[in-house]
Amino acid sequence: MGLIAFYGIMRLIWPGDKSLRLWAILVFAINPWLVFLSRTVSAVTLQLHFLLIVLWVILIFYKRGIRWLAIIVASLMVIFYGSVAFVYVRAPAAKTDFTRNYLGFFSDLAIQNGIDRLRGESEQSGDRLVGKLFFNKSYYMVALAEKSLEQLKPQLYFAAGEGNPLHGLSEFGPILIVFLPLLLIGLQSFFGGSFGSKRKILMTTLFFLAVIPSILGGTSFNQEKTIFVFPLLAILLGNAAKNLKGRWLVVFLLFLVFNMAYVLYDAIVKEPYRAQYAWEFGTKSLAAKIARYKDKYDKVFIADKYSPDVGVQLLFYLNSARVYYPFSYRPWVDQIDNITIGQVDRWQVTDGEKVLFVVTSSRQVSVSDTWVLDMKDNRQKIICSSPIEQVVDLRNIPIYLFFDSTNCTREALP
Amino acid sequence: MKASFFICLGMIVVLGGILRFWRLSEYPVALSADEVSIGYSSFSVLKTAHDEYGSFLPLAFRSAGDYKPPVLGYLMVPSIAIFGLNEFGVRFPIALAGSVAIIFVGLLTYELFGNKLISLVTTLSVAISPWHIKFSRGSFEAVLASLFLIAGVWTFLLGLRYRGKLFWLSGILMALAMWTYHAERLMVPLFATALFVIFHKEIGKLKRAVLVMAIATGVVLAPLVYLLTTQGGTARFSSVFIGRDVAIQSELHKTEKNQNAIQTLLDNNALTLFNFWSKRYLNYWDLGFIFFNGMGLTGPGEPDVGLFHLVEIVPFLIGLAVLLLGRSGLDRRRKRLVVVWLLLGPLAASLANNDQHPLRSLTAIPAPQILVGIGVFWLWGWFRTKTKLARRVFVAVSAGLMVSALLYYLDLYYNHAPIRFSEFDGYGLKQAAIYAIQNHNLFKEVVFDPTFGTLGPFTESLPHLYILFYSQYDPWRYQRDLRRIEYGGSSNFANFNFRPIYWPKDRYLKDRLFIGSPWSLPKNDLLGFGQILQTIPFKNGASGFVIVRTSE
Repeated sequence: MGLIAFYGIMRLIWPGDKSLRLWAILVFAINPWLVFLSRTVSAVTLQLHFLLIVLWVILIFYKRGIRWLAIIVASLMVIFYGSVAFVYVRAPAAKTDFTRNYLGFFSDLAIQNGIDRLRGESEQSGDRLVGKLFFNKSYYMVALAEKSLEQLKPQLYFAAGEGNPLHGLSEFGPILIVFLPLLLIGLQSFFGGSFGSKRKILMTTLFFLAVIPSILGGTSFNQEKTIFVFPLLAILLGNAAKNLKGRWLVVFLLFLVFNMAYVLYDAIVKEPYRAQYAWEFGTKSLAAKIARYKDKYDKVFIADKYSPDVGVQLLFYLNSARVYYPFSYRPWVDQIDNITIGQVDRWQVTDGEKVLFVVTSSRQVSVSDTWVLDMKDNRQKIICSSPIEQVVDLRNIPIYLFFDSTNCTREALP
Repeated sequence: MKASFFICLGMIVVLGGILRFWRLSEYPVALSADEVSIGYSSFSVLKTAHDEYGSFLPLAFRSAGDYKPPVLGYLMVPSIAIFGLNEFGVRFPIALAGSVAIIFVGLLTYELFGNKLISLVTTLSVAISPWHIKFSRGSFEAVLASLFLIAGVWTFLLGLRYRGKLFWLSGILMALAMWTYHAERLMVPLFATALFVIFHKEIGKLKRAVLVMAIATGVVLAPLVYLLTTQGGTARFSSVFIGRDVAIQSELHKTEKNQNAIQTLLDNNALTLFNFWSKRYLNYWDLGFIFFNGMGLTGPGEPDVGLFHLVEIVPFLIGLAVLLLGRSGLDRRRKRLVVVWLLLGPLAASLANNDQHPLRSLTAIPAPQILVGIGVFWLWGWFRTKTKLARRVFVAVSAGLMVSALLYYLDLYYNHAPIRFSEFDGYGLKQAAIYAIQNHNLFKEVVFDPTFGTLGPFTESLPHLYILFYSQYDPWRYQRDLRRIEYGGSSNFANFNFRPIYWPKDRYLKDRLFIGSPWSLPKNDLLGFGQILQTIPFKNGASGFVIVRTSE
């Protein structure tokens, strides 16, 4: 839907430039950036598509002279966003969340520590005045400029990206590298005058607005938060590509197809192996196996070193079987029915109880045929004969091992 | 050219010279292992015409696990003959080359654009460049190679003006650049090809001069071509090639046999390396690296300085825009030359195994500085349409910003970097070596541990080179020392033994002088076995080296 809206917007803004529209929509449609994020539950990407659709509708009404309808749609959007903002600020810890995730730059301890450290060194070297002159709060402006200019780094857009497998392909940039030469041509024609001055100002302003969340967010470059830049880049690249003619066009298309095939192959065949731990591969299988075993045991203990919040994932898969299990949340999901997650120090097994230990491989050491579960937090060592079940990763390396307490003995640690 | 241009150029060169020579012996705070290595090799050649390994006038100087290009080594010979085997004698040739490069940048840019303002601003940008100053103050061959390249391009352009008369000299200078530093061995052939393509019309009319140039270049390069087929020529390439980088090892196939057609096409090592290289290459176009943190004079995330002063960012970006958009009124082909230089500048560095390497990317100089020159030229053109007061304010503000930027850099360079990085520069090894040289006859053996560091013994150096260097050890004697044992990069000779100290065992050895870090000679563990004779701290105050004797 976002694609259709983007094409519609282009059609209204550049009515006489069909090839620009087609190239821009091609860029928009095939690049890993939006393809990847559109296949995940990304609130930011949803927002981009939503904005594009609303903008398209407003533009349609505006161009057809039904301005009052355009104003109503725009007002509805403002009301909608206002409501979202209201609900957000009413949420507990909203302020903390906002300042940490969207204004993290201002609370970045590394900046203040850097200033303090250099001032300390100035004292050490005897140049106190120089330290006071150069290393003070004004450095925040320099750091802000640095973060801002970092958003212009071509490497991030065309070759490396953020490197976070949750936001994109870890080995590739958000845009195919074959488009890099087109960016240079696109910039040349952008600044050289093929765009009108109003469009130029609008696009430049939108670009800087679009990168603000990434700049102020605290992390150096956030591929997800920067997604609003993409439509602008698609227009720039489309504008360059439309001028390709004859053999240059053929060469470009050949490279494009090859580049797409290369990235696609990697994304399908190799990326799952690289990113499986970031994607928390295996949790679904874990849930399925726990669902199978949980009612056969009095207690199920999961010692988690793999997923940051395995409880939520278990709830998702367990409850999807239309069975509602009671759970407790303090401050994360730590108990679902008879399943205890984490809290190794609270594991209590009374005599006669049948318990299932589910531990990550970092918790156990295999010594010939016996397995020693290292429970230092609980001051005990559990020695089990062999796992009854396991969840393995894509390379067949165990992630979770299941041990039946009847096959285990316990020893207190000093 | 008017006299005023030369006066201004002279003043800039003097400023650049001061920045490169001021307290050259003291900063950097210690000679690096590379510097003492090449210094002692030159000393050895000066005294015996052989390097310390006994090679007669070598074409590549053997070093610890590496071979160094020979030009700097031979240029250091007269310097050491005049100033002696000391910090100044070793650093003088490169500091001089860095200062002379400023002159050639001025001449080159004037020849390129025929514009005094662009030329002087570019020259000033190089003269005060944190990038160029830092490496001109150490024995880095890259600075010398850069000088040869710049001079080679200048003489090439002069040759174009004077019907090819200086082409032969241009060829020789560029060939010398290739002899001087590894990065130029890739850069120069590509750049020379680009020059021929850009100026093919003029060159087509100067066939005889081109032939002479080819012969002169061929004569100088022939031994290098031979060298590149030997271990001395290929060792460096094979050790630093991007394919050896640890960051890509897990992505490369050990073997590409038994792959199907799709895998052969889409999952091969060449493509993987290209993809990895593209990240490395494009990372050199990072404004953060160029203007904020490229020099690494402080720790990660702390206020730092880039390859350029931060105040140069505005003219730099304007210059880039002007160069690409073609509104400068400058000659198109000469602008193309700058663009090619910009693009090829980081190429060799990006093909090696470290990311964002400022030393290896020195090949780009002076192309990025030319952008600053063009940017200021454009800005000045804009201010010329304004009032006289506006122009004066522009000049005063620019000068003020430049001075403060320079002060900021000097503060980082002279005050902060020594405190932070003295141990990585090898600070303390000189003092320890001098102590060992003065006292080694009093002991049966001197044991020198090559590992040290503030947070742990993570830095490893080559202390035998410091002993050789600061004792001015007789090269004849060293070359023929029967007790000399080579292992790894180190070498035992006389009664010096360079190895890790293992105190639980070594403390029972009698009549020894131990030199090591507190990590190998822990103070609380010395009682009854060893006596601390001297402690040498790093610049950050942490104990660097401890000198301990055991009883007879």
